[in-house]
Amino acid sequence: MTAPETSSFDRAPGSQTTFLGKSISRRVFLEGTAAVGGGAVVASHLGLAGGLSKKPVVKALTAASTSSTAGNVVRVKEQVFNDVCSNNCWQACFVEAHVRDGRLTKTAMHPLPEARYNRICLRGLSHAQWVYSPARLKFPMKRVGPRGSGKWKRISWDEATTTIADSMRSIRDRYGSKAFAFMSGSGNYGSVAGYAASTLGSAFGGTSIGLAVDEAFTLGGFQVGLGTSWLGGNESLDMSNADLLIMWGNNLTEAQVQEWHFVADALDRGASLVVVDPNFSITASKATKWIPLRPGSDPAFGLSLINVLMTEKLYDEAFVISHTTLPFLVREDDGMFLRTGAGTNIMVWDRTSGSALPAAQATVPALTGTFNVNGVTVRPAFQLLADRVADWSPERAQEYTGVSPEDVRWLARTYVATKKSFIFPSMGVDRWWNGDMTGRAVTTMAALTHNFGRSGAELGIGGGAALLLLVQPTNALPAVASLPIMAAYDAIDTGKTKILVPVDEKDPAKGLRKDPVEVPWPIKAIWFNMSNAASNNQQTKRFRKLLKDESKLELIVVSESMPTDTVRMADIVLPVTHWFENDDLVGGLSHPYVVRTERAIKPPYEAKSDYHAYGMVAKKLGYGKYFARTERQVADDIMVATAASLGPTGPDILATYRKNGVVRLTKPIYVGNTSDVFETPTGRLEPYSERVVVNYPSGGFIPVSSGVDPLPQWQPPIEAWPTNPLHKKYPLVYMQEHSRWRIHTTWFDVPWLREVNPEPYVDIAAVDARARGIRQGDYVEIFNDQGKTIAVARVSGKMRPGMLSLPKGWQRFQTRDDTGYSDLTNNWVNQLTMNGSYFDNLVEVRKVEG
Amino acid sequence: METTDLTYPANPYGRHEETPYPKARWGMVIDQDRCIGCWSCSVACKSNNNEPLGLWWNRILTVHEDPTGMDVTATGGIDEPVGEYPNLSLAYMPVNCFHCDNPPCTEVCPTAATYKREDGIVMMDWERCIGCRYCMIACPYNMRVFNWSVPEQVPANESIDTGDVYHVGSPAKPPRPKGVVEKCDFCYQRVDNGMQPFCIEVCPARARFFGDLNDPESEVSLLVRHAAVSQVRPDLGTDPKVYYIPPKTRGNGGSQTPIAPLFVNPTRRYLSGTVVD
Repeated sequence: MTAPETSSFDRAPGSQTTFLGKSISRRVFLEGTAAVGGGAVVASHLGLAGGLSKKPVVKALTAASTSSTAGNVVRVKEQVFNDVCSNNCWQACFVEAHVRDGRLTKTAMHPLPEARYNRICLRGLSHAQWVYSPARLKFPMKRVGPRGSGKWKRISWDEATTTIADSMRSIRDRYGSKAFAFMSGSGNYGSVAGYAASTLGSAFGGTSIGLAVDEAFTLGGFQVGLGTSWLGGNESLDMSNADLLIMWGNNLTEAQVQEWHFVADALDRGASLVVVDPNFSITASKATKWIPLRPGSDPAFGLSLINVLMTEKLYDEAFVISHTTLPFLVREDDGMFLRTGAGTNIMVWDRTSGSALPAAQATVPALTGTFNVNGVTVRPAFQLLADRVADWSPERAQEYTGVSPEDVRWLARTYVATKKSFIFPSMGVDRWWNGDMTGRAVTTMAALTHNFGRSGAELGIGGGAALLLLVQPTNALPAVASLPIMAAYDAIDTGKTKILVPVDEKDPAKGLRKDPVEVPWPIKAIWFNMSNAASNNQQTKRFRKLLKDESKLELIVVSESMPTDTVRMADIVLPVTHWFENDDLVGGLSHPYVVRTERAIKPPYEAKSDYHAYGMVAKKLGYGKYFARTERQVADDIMVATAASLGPTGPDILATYRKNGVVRLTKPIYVGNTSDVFETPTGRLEPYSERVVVNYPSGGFIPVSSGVDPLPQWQPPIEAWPTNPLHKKYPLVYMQEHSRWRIHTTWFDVPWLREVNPEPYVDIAAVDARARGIRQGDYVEIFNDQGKTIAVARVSGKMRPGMLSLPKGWQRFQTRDDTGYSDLTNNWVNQLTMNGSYFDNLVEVRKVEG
Repeated sequence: METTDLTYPANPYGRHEETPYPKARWGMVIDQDRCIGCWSCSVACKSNNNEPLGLWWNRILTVHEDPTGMDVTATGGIDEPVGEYPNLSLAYMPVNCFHCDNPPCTEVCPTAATYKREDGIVMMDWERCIGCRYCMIACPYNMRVFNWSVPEQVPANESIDTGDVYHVGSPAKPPRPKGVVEKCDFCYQRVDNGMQPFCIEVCPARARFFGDLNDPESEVSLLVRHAAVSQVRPDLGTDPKVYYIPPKTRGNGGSQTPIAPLFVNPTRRYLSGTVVD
């Protein structure tokens, strides 16, 4: 007897379309064997890739006859769909959705053409529990109780969308179309869903309320030259080529577990891992060296590192001269670069001729000194930077950071002595008022040493890949007017908000005025989709108060699949699809693929996709033509447009996309900048710049001639700093870290995950717990003037004394006192970064009796 | 979308002694240096094998010198490093049935409901299991779990629309009855068809290996020979077929402030409470 044609319970490996098992990792890591020391042989040195492939378990063995069972088997049809896990961890995992009899049975890793990018995680393996959650929103609903009471009644889609369309018309008539706002969060990276919201927003002329997160660090880095946007950097697998990896405010072993193995690969090759983090994260536990600095002191730490680089002349002088702005002469009078009469050429001081010459003509530009050119006092930007960091000796910085001078010098020297040094900062440094200063400092370090844009030597927060969100095909509609959420609070509250305005409306090149101006901007209604703003934003206490106020907001619409904190505030609830229930596509942010999402299962109950929901309202307002295509056609069009701008080109692009479910983009925006031409006004890295870039308005900047300082500098945290008088009353720093159980609030109610992580807990250092009589497992109340929340105390050795961390993502109904972790966040708005400084808070904690 | 015809035993609860690879000896190697304790393997196991709420065939232990690290739901246990700030260390130990070569569990089973196949996989026959739990007592590693009540699954085992019987995971892993013991079976239905166990396929850290220990060129054989692996409590004579590569001690990078070395061999400590050499 022969074996049955297929005897597989799951799909046999032979049926994989692209199955590249282990070839890449084997080659790469056999090359690295020279680094192995001692007897510690690790898997990758044997050329072994470990998990995350669908390689067969046996090579040579042939299956013996299975005739004894062949007569006693049942055949089952199982469909396997190409899908993508589409939430805001950026990992865009390509997954298989397994479907039997129309029902999702499990998710599995779907191999990518390059096996090293294969990925899935505990959350992506849990989709069935979300899709079939008893809490899924089933029908459109209309509020019947007071707002926020959670009382609704079922209505039809027609009634719901008519109500919305009527409200949009009415608000437009009374306040102008901008008073109707759309807020799309990061809960779905699907481009069709994103297209739907922005297209209706543009057609109608509404306000798009933007997020205020991940902007500060990246803004500071961007000003110096970090990528086209904040997604600069080589593609993430390049981390494995580094010899020194510095994880700064980055706990990817929990927040982005999919990328950890690139770091592990580097470690196996003999690389060093330095982790800069106040707390002993899981990433820190893997480190060659962990640097536990004081929370919020990152800019001071960066300045001290630059101090060592400059005083010990560890910088790459040739690179600094030819590829940064540091040799440029800066005018003492207005801070701008000295230019030729015509104003096009920037001058440097040529040491050979002893005169100021255009940069291209000088042979030996001076980096230091003070010069007088035609009566104008000028200095090379390098001198200004040197003066700035002169005060930041490692000894002085230690008073701020707590890091020993020896460690600072060791790190600066190692950063330079190691040929391939890769800094991978992440959002732990962004959640601070001074996050932009950390961005400037860190990027300046990379600029001084040319650890930038080379293989294995990079500064990036990963990815730099598809950025698909940017390449949605337009309908030639005007861009929607946008307003960051931090500025929208005032707009909702008072009908006015403060924004930065152009110096000259007719000439945007002149930049923005330094001081914000109050402008009228009433917001009378908000339609949320893929957003749980009431849970995730800074100052949720204020935000929730505004949302509850029916005199300020006439209508709140929430498109959701699960009963979130934001849904609780809704007047109209629209039940929308889970990602596997509609067609869409997602661009990888930490891998270079566009990934297709197929409709694998029918939407349950009356759920509809975002595209359909917006389309129904659009038709009622006369914008139906923008929603005439099917979802799949829109996805195809986006794929074609993306390929046209980012490659690959060719007639078969759609066929490839449909057949394989993935397309590798050939022109990622910023991978391996071998040209050393940077996307800055000067084409050079700009540790000194003529502009201070701002987050809002998008693309805006303030010229330094108006008195702003472009260099990295020390700014204390706005609240969480020992010199703040509030520190006496609230002596603990409060952060809300990302854990592996949730992604922001996505996955907040997955039973498998909650078995391990059942309820909100807060990590507290033993010394802080002891001082307050708090013991392991006690319920504690964390409080400050902003708010309070109750969680279980976990007395953890990982915590730096003086800090609390409450892993985020819980909904209010999951807490004991119906509160949210963001209720305690500070009330400050940084006009330049418009970024939530979520970790920049002071609190106190006490045991809750009973 | 692809459609696959699947075949599985008409009675997945019963006995499945036959193996297509009788000459193989399946084994697993877990690299604790790469492992970040993310629980992806555990959740994968739970989904593929339709494990009820409350039961885990595959768990991630945080390595403590204290055996209370076994309690997977203890608030204080998971992720808790050893030492005092800032001299700390942290390591994880994923565990599932060790598929011992000399399994104590099969020795004590009065009904032969648990048995070892020719390829070394220790199996469960849910038709014969009478729930006496002798095997759970006999297992020195605490890898077996028991259905004290009717297993509860989310999603439920009936379709929300039609009431049809429906379950997550492999079609070969239907809901178990109340009163039977469960444990890891190396996803034998996948293995028999040349596939890796599901936990191996999903590990984001690429820390898990599976293969034929009788094949000297297999990954697991290479690792067992070259990677300084250890078994848990080899002194018991069980000869587990799950091996561990211990976390590495990393230097302090030339810094003046040393950080505590990681465990050299945590596997022995956590189970016995004392170091066994």
